[in-house]
Amino acid sequence: MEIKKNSDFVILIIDDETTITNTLAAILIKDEFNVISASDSMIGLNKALEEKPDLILLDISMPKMTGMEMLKKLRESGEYGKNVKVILLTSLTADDKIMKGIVESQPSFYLTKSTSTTKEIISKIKEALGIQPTQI
Amino acid sequence: MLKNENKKEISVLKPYISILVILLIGLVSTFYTVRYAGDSVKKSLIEHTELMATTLDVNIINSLSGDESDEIKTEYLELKSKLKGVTKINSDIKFVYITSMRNGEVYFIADSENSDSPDYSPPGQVYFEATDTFRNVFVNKKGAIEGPTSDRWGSWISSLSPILDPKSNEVLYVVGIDMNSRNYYTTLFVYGSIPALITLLLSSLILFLYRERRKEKDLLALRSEFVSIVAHDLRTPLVGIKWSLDYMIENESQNLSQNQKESLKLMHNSSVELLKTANQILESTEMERKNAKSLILKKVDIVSMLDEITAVFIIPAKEKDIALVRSGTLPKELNVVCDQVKIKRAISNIISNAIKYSSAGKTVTIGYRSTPNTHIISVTDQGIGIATSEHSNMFKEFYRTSKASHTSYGTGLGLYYVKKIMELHKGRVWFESSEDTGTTFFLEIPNNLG
Repeated sequence: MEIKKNSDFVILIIDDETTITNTLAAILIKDEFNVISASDSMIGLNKALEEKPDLILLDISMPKMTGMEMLKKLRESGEYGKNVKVILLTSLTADDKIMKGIVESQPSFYLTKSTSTTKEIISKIKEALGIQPTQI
Repeated sequence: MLKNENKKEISVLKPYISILVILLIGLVSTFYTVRYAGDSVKKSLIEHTELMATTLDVNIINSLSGDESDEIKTEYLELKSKLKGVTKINSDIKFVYITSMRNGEVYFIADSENSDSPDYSPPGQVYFEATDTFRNVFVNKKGAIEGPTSDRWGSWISSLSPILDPKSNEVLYVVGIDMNSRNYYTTLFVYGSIPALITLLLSSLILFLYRERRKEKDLLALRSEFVSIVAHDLRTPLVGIKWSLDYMIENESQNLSQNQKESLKLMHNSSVELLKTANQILESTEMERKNAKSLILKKVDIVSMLDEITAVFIIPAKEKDIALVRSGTLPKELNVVCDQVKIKRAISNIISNAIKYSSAGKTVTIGYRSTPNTHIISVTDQGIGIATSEHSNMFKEFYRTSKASHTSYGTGLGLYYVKKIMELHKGRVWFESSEDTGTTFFLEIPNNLG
């Protein structure tokens, strides 16, 4: 089986805070991922359906449409949306309402921004994409 | 949403409802006080009149002829001075007079006025303003009180009492005492103004207190919102800084000198601390915004919760060479109805503090006991202790003890937040401590929340 490399994957980052998108994008590009980004969930949903990235990093709290609502629409949009890997990013510890949403929309993982390290984020991305965690 | 708005409207109405109730009670009590005051004034007037009627000598009055010829008789002058005496004793009484009836007309026998007074009624003068009540006293043989009525001399409250002929038992004369209606009304006003004033004072006090409280609440909400915005806006760039440093330390520091690596580590640690602070501030403002109804209550196994918390703190405790132990009184399973996330946060905060303020080689003990109505979780450290002078301030917002602010970094919100959580649970948090020997914090959760 062909060993997949980071550069074989496209990651879409959706967050209204450009500091977050920029930082994450810079880090992921350094790790040779292909990165696209969107600054709100409407644009993000369109980009996801047009460009069909392999994984979506999605912020939960955004104005207009929350990440959770966007994910629900994405999951209902068809075969691609139903199966695409999604990692949710939250600002604080998830409360019960968010947890319920997370269980329903079945993302691959959810991470808390302020407590996650980049090492954790990258290893979760790799796990979701099925990339071997360590390449010797 | 709609429910909440309705509730808000009711709470705004509340002070107005209580003011309305007070005004209503005030109105009723003013009414009754005025009525009572009026009744007692009239009663005392009647008593005066009856006393006069019984003490006057009928034979002396009989000896008068009821015309101007009486004016020089000693009996008349004696009678007059007796009537005058009454007005002198009681300043509320203006006129005292004796009348009789002749050919269906009421006429004066004698009055309390001097003959040179403009209000003087000479013997025989007809009192044509006499009301039916007045005339009826002659027929019914019973005293009466009337007024305020008006005649040529002014407006009066008049008390009338008959003098009977001891032989025939017929009414010979009627004694009258007049009180100025203005005096009467003044008395009523003075009595009535007491409950009215109290009512007004009470309602304005309530309105004032309510306004002050709302002002204070608005101000607190504004402050909390401001702090929350600031903390939130700080957090996002901090996450950016932390992630960048994370990545640098992890992947790009191979070629840096040891000193540079240490600087990076320091920067990283500071960003983590700052981020913690921002999160703590956001959590506490969030607590302030939500009210008591925001607890998410469910059955929680406290023992497994304590296991989870201990697991989190084992590593930081080990790093400081502090033993984290459990005192042996815990059951295998302990189901308590509470808000899992919040109670976990409260316990974690207390344990985190205990580790933070303990030095190497010391022990932090987590204990449990129950009372018939509560569960008490305790955390004991052998740390720096809390000075007695600082005990009362420990749970205040932003408060840090003098030792803590010298030795470590913190917001002074942790315990404030713990107290809020315990209050939401109708529970308590308290501590026992002495300087240099250590502190035990107690968290008490009532077991009747479910």
